[in-house]
Amino acid sequence: MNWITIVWPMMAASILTLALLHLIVWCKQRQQVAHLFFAIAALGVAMISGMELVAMRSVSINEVALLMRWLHLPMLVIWIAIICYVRYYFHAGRLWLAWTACCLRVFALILSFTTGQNLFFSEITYLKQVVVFGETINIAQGILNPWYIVGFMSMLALVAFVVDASITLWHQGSDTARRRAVIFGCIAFFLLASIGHAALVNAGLLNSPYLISISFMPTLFAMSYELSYDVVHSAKLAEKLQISMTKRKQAELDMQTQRNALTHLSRVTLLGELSGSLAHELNQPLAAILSNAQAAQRFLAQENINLDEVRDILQDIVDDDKRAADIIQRLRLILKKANLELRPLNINDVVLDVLKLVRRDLRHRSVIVNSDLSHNIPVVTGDKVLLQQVLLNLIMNACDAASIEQRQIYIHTQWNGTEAQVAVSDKGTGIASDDIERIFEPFFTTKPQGMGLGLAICRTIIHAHKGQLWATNNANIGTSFYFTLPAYSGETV
Amino acid sequence: MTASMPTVFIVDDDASVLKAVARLLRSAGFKTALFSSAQQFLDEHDSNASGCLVLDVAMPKMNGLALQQILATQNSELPIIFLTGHGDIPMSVQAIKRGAVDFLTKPVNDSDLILAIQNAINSNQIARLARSKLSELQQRFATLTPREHEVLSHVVAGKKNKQIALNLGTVEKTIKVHRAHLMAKLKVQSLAELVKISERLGIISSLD
Repeated sequence: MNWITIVWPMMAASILTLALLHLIVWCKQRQQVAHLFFAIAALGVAMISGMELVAMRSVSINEVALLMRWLHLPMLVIWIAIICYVRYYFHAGRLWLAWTACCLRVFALILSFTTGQNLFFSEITYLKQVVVFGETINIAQGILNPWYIVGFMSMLALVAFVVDASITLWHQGSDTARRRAVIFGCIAFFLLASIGHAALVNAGLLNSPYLISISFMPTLFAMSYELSYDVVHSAKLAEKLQISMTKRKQAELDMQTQRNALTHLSRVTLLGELSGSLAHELNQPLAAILSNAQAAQRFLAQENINLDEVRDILQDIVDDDKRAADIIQRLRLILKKANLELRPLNINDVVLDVLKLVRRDLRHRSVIVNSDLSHNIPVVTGDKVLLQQVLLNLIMNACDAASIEQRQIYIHTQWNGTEAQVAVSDKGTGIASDDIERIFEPFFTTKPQGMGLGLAICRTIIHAHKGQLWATNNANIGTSFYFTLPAYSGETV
Repeated sequence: MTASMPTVFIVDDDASVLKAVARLLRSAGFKTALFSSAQQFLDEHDSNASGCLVLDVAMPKMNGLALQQILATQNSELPIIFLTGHGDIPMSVQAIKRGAVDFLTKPVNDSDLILAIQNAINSNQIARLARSKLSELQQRFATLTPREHEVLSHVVAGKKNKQIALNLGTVEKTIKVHRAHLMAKLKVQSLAELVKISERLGIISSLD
């Protein structure tokens, strides 16, 4: 065991590990191409490091010559990778310098295969044995290839490109840019040193192992440092983002709660408006029950008790009691409603239910409802109580809008092929065209006592059903409100 | 008292309330007639029958107050008791001003309703009695000859027979005969009675 057999493979291994790491990062984040270029550059350096090791231990001149010829292939790869890295990651460096460096490198590769034994030597005459760190290594010696100048030029072009990029970065002035400029300025120095070193070794002036791969190491580390700096930075950002996301989620949750409370409030307000008619609705069965019970008392006080009559009375009392309970149940459902419960339902049933609920009120306001309910509507997905609320709102609005002469409203349901559509129309004065979309905004109202929440909440409800709610002025008179509901898809919440 | 028993007409669009109220009134011994709408009542009820009307205020198409107005234009004497779920003060004032005898809220207590109906029936019967007396008087009045009419108008104006004879260009004796005839036809014994029925028939006020 000796230094060289330990250091070179270790270097190759660590470079390969780095390459692998950044390759994985790139696989996970395809838009971060800098990681890919780094991995390619690192792979190139690892290859050179392997080739150097083999060359130093080889005893065959041909083998060394061949290795030195092929060495220029990973060199080209490294050139391209470094240039791409600088261009894509720093957005710096002149393009013509980049092209010059690359073209010279390609030219060098071609020359390496076409002139002499390789780009370094026209002919390797012998292998010089040198003792380094107590180990004997072989260094090729022979007639130098004059075309070697091309490789030298390509290295100078690359250095020029890097230095130019560093200057640009320095002028950008930010801390990050300046740090990068300094690091890459140093890289240029290492690259230059590597050229000088190789030239001296090849010329037989320096007894040293080949150090191309080692001189690229600082470059790689600098590149990797920059990239990892970025990874750490993005991790920090992610952490910050997560905190703000948590805050946002909480805010969204709060908003949802508020929205629910608002929906509830509007429902209560709506019920307040309806309370007169609901009180009446509840009063009817109560009145019937009282009269029936008192009639029964009187019948029972008579001498000849008509039991059939009393039995009928009791049955009627039971029925009216159930009717009252039904009304209370409906009220409670509307008041207690908290979350969306999507179930398959028939939209016409919902319309009829609501009409039952507002029957009294409409009558009181002398409004006539004309309904045209299509029987070819498939089952839709919806929350019955919330849809009742929407319809209730639209119907009450239509009543408010109905003019004194035209106290009629129209309710129309139909299937348009993909969705169920419900229309509620009045023959009122219509809505100003500027306001036709604004009426759905919260706190926008045209009524003196309105809160301006009804339609805003209706729209929220319909959107939660994956439907649409909109209004248009009719061609002749009044306004129509439409909402759509998708067909039942088997999904329930 | 008329020969037939007074009828309580009940109009309410809520079937179960209609049935229950009718049942209560039957248990109290009233004769009832049931109608589920104002229109049905107008079309089908016996306008000559005595009794009273128990009327729901809030009904579709024609409400209780509208029916009251129509009955007023038809000179109906049927007293009206309004039943309402949510009667407000202006509404009840309006109804009472137009002659409703009572305005009760649902649910109504049996004794309140029965008392109101009894009062209404009584007032209806008194009114009917007064009307029948008046029509009897009118019938008697119709039997007078034109000359007797003239004499009557002068008599109730407080003129003496001699003055009347002078005014009508005849002798006092003739006037005396006319006077005796008309008093017999109108079945009155004294001048005071004659003045009273003339007032009721509207003869005196027409002289003013």
